[in-house]
Formats: sequence, structure tokens, C-alpha cells
Amino acid sequence: MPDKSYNSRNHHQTVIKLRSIAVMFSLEDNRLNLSGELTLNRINSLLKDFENILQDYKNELLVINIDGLDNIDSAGITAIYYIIDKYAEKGLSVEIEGGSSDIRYKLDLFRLEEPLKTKAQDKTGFFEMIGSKTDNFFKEYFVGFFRLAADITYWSIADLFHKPMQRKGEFYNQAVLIGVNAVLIVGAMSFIIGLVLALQSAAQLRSFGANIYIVDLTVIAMMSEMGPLITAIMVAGRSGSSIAAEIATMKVTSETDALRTMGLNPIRFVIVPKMHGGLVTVPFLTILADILGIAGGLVIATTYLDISPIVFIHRMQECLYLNDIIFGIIKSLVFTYLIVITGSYFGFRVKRGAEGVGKVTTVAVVVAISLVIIADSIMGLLFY
Amino acid sequence: MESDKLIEVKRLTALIDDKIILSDISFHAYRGDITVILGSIGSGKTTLLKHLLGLYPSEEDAVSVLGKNPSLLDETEENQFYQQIGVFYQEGALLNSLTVGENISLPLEQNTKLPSDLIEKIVRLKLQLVNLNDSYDLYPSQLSGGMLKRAALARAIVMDPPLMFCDEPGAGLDPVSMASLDKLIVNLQKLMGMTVLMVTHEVSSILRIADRIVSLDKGKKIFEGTLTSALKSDNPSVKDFFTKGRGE
Repeated sequence: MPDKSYNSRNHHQTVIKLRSIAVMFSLEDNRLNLSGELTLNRINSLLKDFENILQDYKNELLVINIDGLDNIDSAGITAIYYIIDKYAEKGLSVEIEGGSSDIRYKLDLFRLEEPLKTKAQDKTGFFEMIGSKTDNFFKEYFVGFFRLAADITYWSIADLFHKPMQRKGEFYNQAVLIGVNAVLIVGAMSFIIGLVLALQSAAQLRSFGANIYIVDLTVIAMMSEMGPLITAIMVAGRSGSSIAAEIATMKVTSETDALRTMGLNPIRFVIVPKMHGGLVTVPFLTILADILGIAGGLVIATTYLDISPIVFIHRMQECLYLNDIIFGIIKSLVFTYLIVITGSYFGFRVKRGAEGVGKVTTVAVVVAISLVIIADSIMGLLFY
Repeated sequence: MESDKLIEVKRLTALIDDKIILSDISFHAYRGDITVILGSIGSGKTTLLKHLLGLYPSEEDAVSVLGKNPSLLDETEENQFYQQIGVFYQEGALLNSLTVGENISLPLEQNTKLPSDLIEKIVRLKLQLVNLNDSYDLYPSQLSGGMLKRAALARAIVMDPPLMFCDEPGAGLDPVSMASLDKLIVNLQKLMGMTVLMVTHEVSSILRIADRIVSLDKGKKIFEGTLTSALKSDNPSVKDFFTKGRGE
């Protein structure tokens, strides 16, 4: 606690002495003497003591004498300027006097520059703000996304007819990365989902004596819905994120600028091979997912519902239509297109280094999966 | 002479997110010179460079590089333009998935129809010029900072461009490596008759290589002239830059 002896009635003889941890004050007339050390961890007590001292101070001028200060750091200096500004607002003029050359030098060095006065912005109304945000969202996301989509679509088609601007073998690399390397995970997930789907339905169907319809249920669900969807979600997670991260990293390390200034279009050089690789391999992945999902259903049909594999396959031939297979493949092409464009779009939108790369990668996956589900619903309404 | 002006910037003003980054900048860079754009961090050097490279849009008369505004070119013109310039990026900007040799051969592979064995010879020669003879098959991640910069320099000059842009070439290098890189740039500039426009804030580099100086401060041009006149300049910011930069 500060040791305070204060007689407010007689200012001329007033002597206040406050002893903080290491900084000491004494107020004589209009002169406040600071001594000791004024560093970061002592500022709080300095401010409190200051308030106590100046509670009943009536003069218009206060001189802070810093002759007795042994040490002051940048935070201490900022605190002194803070006090000066604060009391200036109350009409009290505060001046600093004395101090060693070292401390005076520090006082000059650590003086915060006045922030540049910018023209006060007009206050925006609520509806105006909504309008402006909608306009920005539309321009930034909608227009940007569709422009990039148009560019990628154009070059993906154009590069089929003339010399593509890409490294030799890049299409095969991308086909392997997006398609071949995903075979195991897509296959395993589809098999498990087919298995679980059939298992959940088996008990219900058995209670109605409709065991054989397990085939219809599994085959139609896998071919027209689950196969393309599971594959797209897996590809969005694996390749969508990798596309976004690769492009974002290339952007933050100026590699995309370097490509442009070498006369290479980053869309043709980086994205088009991925689009081609994905569009060629993902439909095959989808067919694989369909087959393995149905195989999962077959396992349950055989073990739980006593349907022999021959009966299962026979029934499958009756309930499966060519249209289901074609629609499944069309869906997988649309999903791949959306995943590549979303990954590329968010990759190009990156700002601020490694943190930005992480952010756009996450957003790219979330948006890609959402778009896939929305597109799936729309196509579901159109096809069936 | 007008024809000797490879780069002309007239009253260029640039805004990013409604903030003025460059304000009313005008200057020239002459054929055969090494022109240095100098200024402290945040002075707008890199933004200016991006305008000169056509990576940021600018008004028709504001920027002219080799007689064209690179941000207003169509696909074919843009391709031709970029074949005439080399760019040496601060971080190297080599593609990490390709070897050094593949990185440097990229512009030749994509923009010419030269046989691949000739391309390899050209690339090996360029690597030899930057003293990286044994790095053809290495990946960028296997190179040290100084080697990475030299590989980036080799890529910038692989098309024998008449004009090379360098963005902070010495950044992140120790003084010895920086000095040797500067020497290399000067030698290559003389050897290949290039015009160089370099963006930097390294005073030691500027003193070693600059013919002409364009000095920026808070987005404004505060000086343009020869290195000698810059050293004698009365402008307090220019004076300060050179004195403090030399540790005086």
C-alpha cells in the first residue's frame, strides 16, 4: 500500500510521498518528482497512484520532474505520455523536466507518432451495410467463381485440340494422384457403406417377408446415389484439399507469378491437367465404388437374409437399368468439375502465408462437399 | 533518347483495398542500365514491380515496358512480351515439384520448339554461368539459400531476355553471398547486354551495382537520377537511407 500523507488545504506546503514497488512520487507545489525505476510491471501502480495524487489537484500546470529516475523502459515512457494526454483532456497542462541524457533520448525515441488523420467515413446505415455486403459477396465470390470456372472450362476444352501448356506426363501424374491413389480408400469406404446400408434395412425387410428387395435397395441406392456421392466426398477430401493447398502455396511463394512472367498460363499449366486427370479417373472410381458397395450388400443378403449370390445377381439384373449407371457417371463428372474448380478458386484466393493456406484448404473442402450435395439434389430432381 | 527508354512510367497511382500504395509515380529506365528502385519496407516497391510486370492492372499510358502496357495485352501478345523479359523473384519461386533443370527449361520447352537435347545444353550453360554446374538434377529443396537464388537467376536469363527484373535478390543472404550474387548480376548484365530493373533496400547492393536510382517513400517518388547524384542528394529521406544503410 502506498504511504500517503496529504494535506489538501495547504497546497504550498503540500508534500505527497507515494512509494510503489520501485517508483516513488513526491508532489511539491506543481512539481511531481519521479524517482526510482519505471518499467512495464510498475505502470499499473503508477497510474493508480497518479490518480490518487491528482484527485484534489487544483493548479492548471503540472511539471513532472524525472531527475530522480534511474531507469525507464519503452512501456514506462508510453505511460508518461498517456498520463500527459489524459490530463490534457481535463484541461491540465503537464510538462516533463530534467532527466539524464539517456532517459531524454529514450523519451524522444519511444514517442508514439500521431496516427495519420484519415477522412472520417460517413456512417453507414443498416440497410446500406446489408446492400454493400451483398454486393461485395456477389462480386467477390459469385463473379470470381464463375469467371474462373469459365476460364478453366474454356482451357480444359481448348487444350484437347491443340498443344497443351503443361509438363510432359502431367496428365498421367494427375490421373494417378486423383484417381489411382484413391482406389483403396474409396473401395473400402464404399464396401463398408454398402454393408451398413444393407444391414440396417435387412431387419425391416425380414419383418415384412420382403427379403429379396434388399437387392433393389442396395443396387439402386449405390448406383444412383451413394456410389457417386461417396466417391465425390472422398475425392473432395483428398484431391480438393490438395489442389487448394498446392495452388495457395504456389501463390504465396510467387510461383504463379513466376509462371505468368515466363509466359505460362497457371490455369493451363496447373489446373487443366488436374481437371483432365479427374474427369477421366473419377467415373471409374465411381463404378468401383458402385460395385464394392453392392458387394457389401451381397455379403449381408447372403449371411442375414439367406439370399444366395446367384439369386442376388439375377435380381440385380432385373432391377438395374442402364440409365442408373449413366446418371451415376454423369453425376461423378459434374462432382469432379465442381471439386477441381472449388479447390482452384480458393487456392487463388489465399492471403497471408501459411495460415492463409490452411484456411483456404479447409474452406475449399467444406464448400466442395456442400456444392457436391447441392448438385446431387438438383440432379436427383432432374433425373428422377 | 526516347528509343533508349525501355521502361516508362507516367503518373501511376495504385490502390489496394482503397488504400493508396503508389501516388503519381513517374520515371524512366534506360537501355543497358541497371536501374534500382529503392525504398524502405512498405514504400510501394513491390507493388510498382507488379505493375511493371502486368500482374496488377494499370491505365494505358501509365506503364510502358518495351513499348507496351503488359496488363493490357491479349493472350498472344502477353506470351510474346513475357518471352522478352526475365524475372528474378525474391523467394526464387522455383516450382518445388520439378528439378532445377526442369524449372529452368520450362520457358524454353513451352515457348520454343527446340529439340530437348538442345534445351538441356542451353540450361546447363545457364547453370554454368551462375556457378551451379552440378545442380541440374537437384530439387529446389536440396539447394541452399544462395544456390536457390542463383538457380532463380539462371531461370530468369534462360530466354536471353533484353530486360530483367529482380525483386530483392539479396534478401535473406549473408553479406558475402549477397556480394557474390551482385557481382554475378553485373557480369551477366554486361555479358548478355541486358537492361536490369532491380527492387531492393540493400544499400550495399545498390552501391555495388546501380547506374540509376529511383527512390520511393510512402508510395511517392522522392528522387530519380544517377547513383552519384543520389549520394549527393539533399533530400533528407534519400540522405538518411544511404547514411543509415551504411551504418553511419
